[in-house]
Amino acid sequence: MRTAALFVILGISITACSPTSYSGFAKSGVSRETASRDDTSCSVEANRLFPSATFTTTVYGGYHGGYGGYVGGSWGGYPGYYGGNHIQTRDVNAGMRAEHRRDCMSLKGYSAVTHPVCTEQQLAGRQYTPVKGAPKPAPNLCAIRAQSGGVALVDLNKPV
Amino acid sequence: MKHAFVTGCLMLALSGCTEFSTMYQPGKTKTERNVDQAQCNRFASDTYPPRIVTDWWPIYSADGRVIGQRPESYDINEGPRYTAARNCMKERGYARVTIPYCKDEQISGRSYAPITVAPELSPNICGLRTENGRVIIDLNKPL
Repeated sequence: MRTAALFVILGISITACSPTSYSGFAKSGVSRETASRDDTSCSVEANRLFPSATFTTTVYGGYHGGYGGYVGGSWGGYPGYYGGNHIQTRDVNAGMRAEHRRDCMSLKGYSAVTHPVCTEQQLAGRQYTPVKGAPKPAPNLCAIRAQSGGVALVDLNKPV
Repeated sequence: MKHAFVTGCLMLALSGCTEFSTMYQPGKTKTERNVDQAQCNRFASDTYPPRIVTDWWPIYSADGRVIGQRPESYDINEGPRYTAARNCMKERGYARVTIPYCKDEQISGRSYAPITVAPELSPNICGLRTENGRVIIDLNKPL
């Protein structure tokens, strides 16, 4: 039986601050190059079918206080006021684009995977070499940012 | 071919709304509908790009005197952009419809496959929330 090499294309999951997980796609029996090519192909297709489209939404604000005086709920009361707003901008096609990329990869036989980011406690100052073949998620595997700028999976059971 | 099975246990995880509104056209796949929506969104954003203007409104004291000003910014193309996207979809044959979410008693432990091609709407068509997004099912066609 052919050794099943699982390759994962990693990407930063969208989080507000520092990421706590990395998501990508896995498939057994393909090379890293093939997986990367498939991911690029799906991304290009998704970008073509779902181009960015910038929409704005005006969000109307509440009370804007000034110097700490009594307002009493009346409009325009000194020293603050009710009103004000800000404008949110977003790409309304982003969700559909991501969904299409995911569906496209699924049709090519990939499954979505998520790896946790290694914590400082897990790494404990030790050095690791990247895991070759990027296996499926496992308790001993986690993701770190590589010195090259990319993301790498490491096996916590195998420090250098 | 792999089927994405939708089971009753996935439904109504976040119940609260009993129906949803969407642009709909019988015969269209979800992908076709999404592509049309994306193209219309792009057309609308290109036709009506953000155009931010700022108005200054007076701030009055309790006795009616103007004691300052406050800025209020807004995008004067926001409304026309949404309208353009909606009209674009209408021109492509879509209409806004409301589809109810399936109720627990309607599912009652059965499993359904998501409908891939939008059917004519009828009382047996309802929506389900899944971890992969919203899907519609035909209650007359359990797996």
